Amino acid sequence: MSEEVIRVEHVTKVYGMDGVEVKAVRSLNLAIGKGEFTAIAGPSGSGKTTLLNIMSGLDIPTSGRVMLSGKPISSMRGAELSDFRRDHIGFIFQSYNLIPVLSALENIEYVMLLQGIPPKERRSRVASIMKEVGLEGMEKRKPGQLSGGQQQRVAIARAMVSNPDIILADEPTANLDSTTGAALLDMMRELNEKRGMTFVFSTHDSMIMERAKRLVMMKDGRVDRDETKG
Amino acid sequence: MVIAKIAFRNLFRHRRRSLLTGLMMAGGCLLFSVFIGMVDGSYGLLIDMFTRDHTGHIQIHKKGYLDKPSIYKIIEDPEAVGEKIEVIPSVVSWAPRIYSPALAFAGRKTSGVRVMGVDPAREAETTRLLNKVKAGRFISEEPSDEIVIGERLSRVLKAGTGDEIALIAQGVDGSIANELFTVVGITGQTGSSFGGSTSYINIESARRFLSMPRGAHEIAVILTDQALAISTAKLISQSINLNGDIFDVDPWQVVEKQFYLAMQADIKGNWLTIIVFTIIIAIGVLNTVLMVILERTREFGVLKAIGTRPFQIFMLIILETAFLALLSIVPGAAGGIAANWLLSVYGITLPNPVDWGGFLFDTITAKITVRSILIPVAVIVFSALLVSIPPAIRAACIKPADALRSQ
Repeated sequence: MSEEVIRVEHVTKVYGMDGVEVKAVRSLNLAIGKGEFTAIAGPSGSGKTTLLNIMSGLDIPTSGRVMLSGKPISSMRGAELSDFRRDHIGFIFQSYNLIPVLSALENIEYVMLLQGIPPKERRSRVASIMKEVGLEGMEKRKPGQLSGGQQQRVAIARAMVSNPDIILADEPTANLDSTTGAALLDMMRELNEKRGMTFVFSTHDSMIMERAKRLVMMKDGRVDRDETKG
Repeated sequence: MVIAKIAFRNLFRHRRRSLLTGLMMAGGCLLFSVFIGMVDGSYGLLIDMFTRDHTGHIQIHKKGYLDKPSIYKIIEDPEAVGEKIEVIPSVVSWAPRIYSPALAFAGRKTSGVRVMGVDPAREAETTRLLNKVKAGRFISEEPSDEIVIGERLSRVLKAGTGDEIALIAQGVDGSIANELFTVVGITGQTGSSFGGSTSYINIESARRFLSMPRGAHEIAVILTDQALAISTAKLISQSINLNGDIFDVDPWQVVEKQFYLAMQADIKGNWLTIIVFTIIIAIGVLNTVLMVILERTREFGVLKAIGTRPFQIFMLIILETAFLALLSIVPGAAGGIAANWLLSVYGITLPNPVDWGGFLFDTITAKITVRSILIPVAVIVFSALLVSIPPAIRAACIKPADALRSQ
């Protein structure tokens, strides 16, 4: 395996629901290398979204630890965790989740503004990524003025523009029609190959599973199968 | 900066809700401003009536006179005292006065009176006493046997202008003072402080009547602004008490203590109303902010997920409230200024005048003051920000994973 970006070590996540303990992830181990295009798949309730949340520091494991770019993200809290996510992780959500009051351009440059990147560099990077994801001419449009596919392109651009170590995508094609979804996946795959950027998807979309270079199948909170395609 | 941009734009996401909350804040600011304007205006008018009609802004007496008035407690050389206080920049004018109780006779009628010896020329520069004559005229500037009596005394003695009144009192030298005076004017109306039993004679006539070669019992001082009364009283006291603690120098708040305390109590009562009103506005703002937090839980989760710090989320909520408050107080304060101006020009005439310590108060007026603008603005902004803090902390502490699961 190439250089590791994420290492999940003996991670367990237990939720307390109405007094009943539910183990969403059970003593799971997983490592993701740089430049991988990985799909974490499995039926509903298999723990794939929980795993993705724990890998990104959005959720805290009950036990075990997660190392991201060599840092223990699972033990970070507050502003330190926010800054770490801002600088090392890009997110793509199922429902796009753009900031509704900002234009496409402003949404893409948001993370860079938080990072304090100088305006000239920001503009240059935004222009480049917008061209790359096919959003030229839509800079001033608000999310409400964009189609689902266009909004997800903005979300992809937002996730990639600050050159994070990894992009975590939770069901990114679930709200899109198959043609748009396929086009976006092809685009992400192209970006992965061209830029060497690491992608991890949580999905049960067969299109993603087909295009993924590595497929991690989960079942009952455990890795059921882990296969790398030739 | 980007947080401020988002906060400002968020105001226009739910325009109607922002408008209603803003109107509530603007209305509160306006009413608050009018309240303070009316307090400053109406109480200012009342203080002006009290001080300019008779009391003056400051009074000077021989030590202990106010606590226990006596014809023997005399300011020996009022002119010398006057010369010392005239040099103080805030002093406009002063007037010496002599007081004595007396018995008044007119025909077969008799009544106790308070005789007040005044210097008509100085009194005209100092108070509005001369304007209180409702029938006839005020006493002349030269010493004479002229007397002006109150309306009530006129009724009791059945004496009008041109009638003669005999006064009997005790002279300062222990002799029995008695003299005949001619009524030249009648002051005030029944119920007002000028319609009572005080009778006015020339100060020189009073000295002659009371066998008091010189001096006065009181010096009333008028200042450029009644608000300077306390500080100027201290200055005057320092200036005229160089040779020991001879004189009491009291601002109107001490001289008219009962009126002042009653006024303060009334103002405090009104403040209570304003506090209740502010709480109602604050609850309205809190309701709006809580609704925002509830509706945008997922959005805050996303913002945190992509790297927004908890403090930045906190500031986002605080800034949204701050922007709304600032946008609201502009029309609120402008409305307050306009309303106070209208009230100061036209006032509201009461159908039945209210008796305030012997002064008939018949007009509610207002005054545009710096505090009538700044206090409402500060209170509205501060209370809105204060109630936003708990929801803002709640938003800042949202767990992204939980927030992203919410709808």
